[in-house]
Amino acid sequence: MPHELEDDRERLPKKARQIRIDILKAIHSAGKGHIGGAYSIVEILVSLYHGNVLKYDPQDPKWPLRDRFILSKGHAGIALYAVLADLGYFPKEELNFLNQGRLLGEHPDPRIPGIEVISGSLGHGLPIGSGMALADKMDRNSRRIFVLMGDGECYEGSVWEAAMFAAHHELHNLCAIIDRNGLITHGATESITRLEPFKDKWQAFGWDVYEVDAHDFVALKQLWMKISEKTSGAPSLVIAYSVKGKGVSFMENQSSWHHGGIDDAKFAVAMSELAPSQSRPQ
Amino acid sequence: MKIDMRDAFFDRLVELARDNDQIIILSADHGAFALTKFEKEMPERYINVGIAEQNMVGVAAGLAASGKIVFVYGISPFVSLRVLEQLTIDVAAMQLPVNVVSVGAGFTYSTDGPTHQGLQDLSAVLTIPRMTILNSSDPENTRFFVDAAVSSRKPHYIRIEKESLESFHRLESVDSSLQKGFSLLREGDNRLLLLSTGRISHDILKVASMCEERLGLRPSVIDVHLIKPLPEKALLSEIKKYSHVITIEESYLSSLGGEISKIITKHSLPVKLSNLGIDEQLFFQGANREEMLAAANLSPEQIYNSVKNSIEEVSYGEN
Repeated sequence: MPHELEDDRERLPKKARQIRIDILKAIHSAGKGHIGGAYSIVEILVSLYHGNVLKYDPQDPKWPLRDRFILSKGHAGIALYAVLADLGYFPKEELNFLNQGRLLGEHPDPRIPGIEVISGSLGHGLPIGSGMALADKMDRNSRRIFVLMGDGECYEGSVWEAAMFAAHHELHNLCAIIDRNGLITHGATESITRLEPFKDKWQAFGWDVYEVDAHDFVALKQLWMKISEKTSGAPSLVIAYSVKGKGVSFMENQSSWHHGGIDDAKFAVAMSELAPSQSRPQ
Repeated sequence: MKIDMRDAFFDRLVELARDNDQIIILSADHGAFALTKFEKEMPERYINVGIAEQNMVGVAAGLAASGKIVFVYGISPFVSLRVLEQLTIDVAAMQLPVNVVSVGAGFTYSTDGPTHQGLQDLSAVLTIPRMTILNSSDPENTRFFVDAAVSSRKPHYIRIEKESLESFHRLESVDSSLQKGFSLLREGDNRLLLLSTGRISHDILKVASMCEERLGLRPSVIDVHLIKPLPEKALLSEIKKYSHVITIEESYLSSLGGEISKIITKHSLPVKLSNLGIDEQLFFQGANREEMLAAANLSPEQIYNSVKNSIEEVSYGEN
């Protein structure tokens, strides 16, 4: 195993734990937030931003050669904010003021350094990302476009309009990732209106489809390398099988933790699970 | 000489695109003869996205966020109502240079029913913050819209006509009228101002003549092409000259009429205002545009009668 991957086995999980704590504290301060879908994407974000995948510069958020990352499932904005704050895009103290009339609102917008587009309403990210990828292909720019969507987002027709478009135009520089946690606000996707066979659908639309455990850093790293080395003209689609609320036992796989408040007692329990050393009685 | 308004628009766009390789056109499988010139000359910059308007606007936003100046083309309801959220969030909220070219104002697609008629687009798009709305009525303003859209690099909703229309005879210079956002087409006395927008302004000139011939009344006529942001200050200085203003539009009443009502109320102007347009009504009957206008009580003769009825309620006094 390459040294870098070995290093990631220590470094990246530690970073993910810290990001989860930052998210928990921010939502606790805000009173409520979308914690379930934020926790399901932490390893995806950490592997992209800390695993030498995305090219970016926190000191120059609009650096013209940057790769572009679109969080299309905008309700998980706090997860991306925590990653961006940690990287120095904006002061980390802003996380304590989520939804309190300052920089950070529940859903991302480009006033925030490091945020490319507004999101919140679902089904917008893939069309926009396709347009960006097309522009780069026309201009022969080598950068890549990443779009992270929720699985529930794929109920939106515009996602499939864009899926056809991106495949037809051979947007090989576009990589869409689906956070397949299997839950929407009121239950399981497969019992509400089924999405499966999901992989077959994307393949039929002309995408190179990959499946990965959304919480396994080694698998994620290997996948990003594989995608960066591929030669096919098709856009890439990653189905990332995740656990909603991952990291806190009472939140995991509970659609009720899609959005809500965290009282002091639950906050203490969650902290004890995420950071046992920090929450140990003095 | 009458000129096809799509030719006026796209011929000018071809001219600008020859010198600006950032200009791109997207169409949701909707064509025009003039558009094929662009497609033939610059095929790599003309993309038919298929019948998928929401994706078209999203793709346009992505292209624009990467430095392109994008024009998206389609029939009015499909590039307004169907994509209202994309226009609001992806385009206007981020102030990206995406320009919607909407064809089929009013009853243009008269026989196709409410699915294709352009009666609601202005009202709907008016609700989008920071979206400029331009409504064409002659070849001069139609060509001007292309230059305005390309040079400003801001979002626009541009409504163009499908048919051929004459150039207006403007009483002020063409340039200053275009820059100002409206054109004075006929100057009468200071009793009645007819304010209209789009193709129907040509009919309003006929109505004004009818008023003069039959009633001895000489209304002024203004065609407004900049619907949003309405050139409030300049329009106010015109409206203030009159005791009675009538707005006329081939559209539901909540567009030009609604906007003029707002500024008259806001400034407490002592002016009687009447709005002519289309009430809560859907039109399923297939007939030509003139017949549909008559069904909506908007033929020149019917407008004349409405004007006559309206002025009978007003005592103008001696002028």
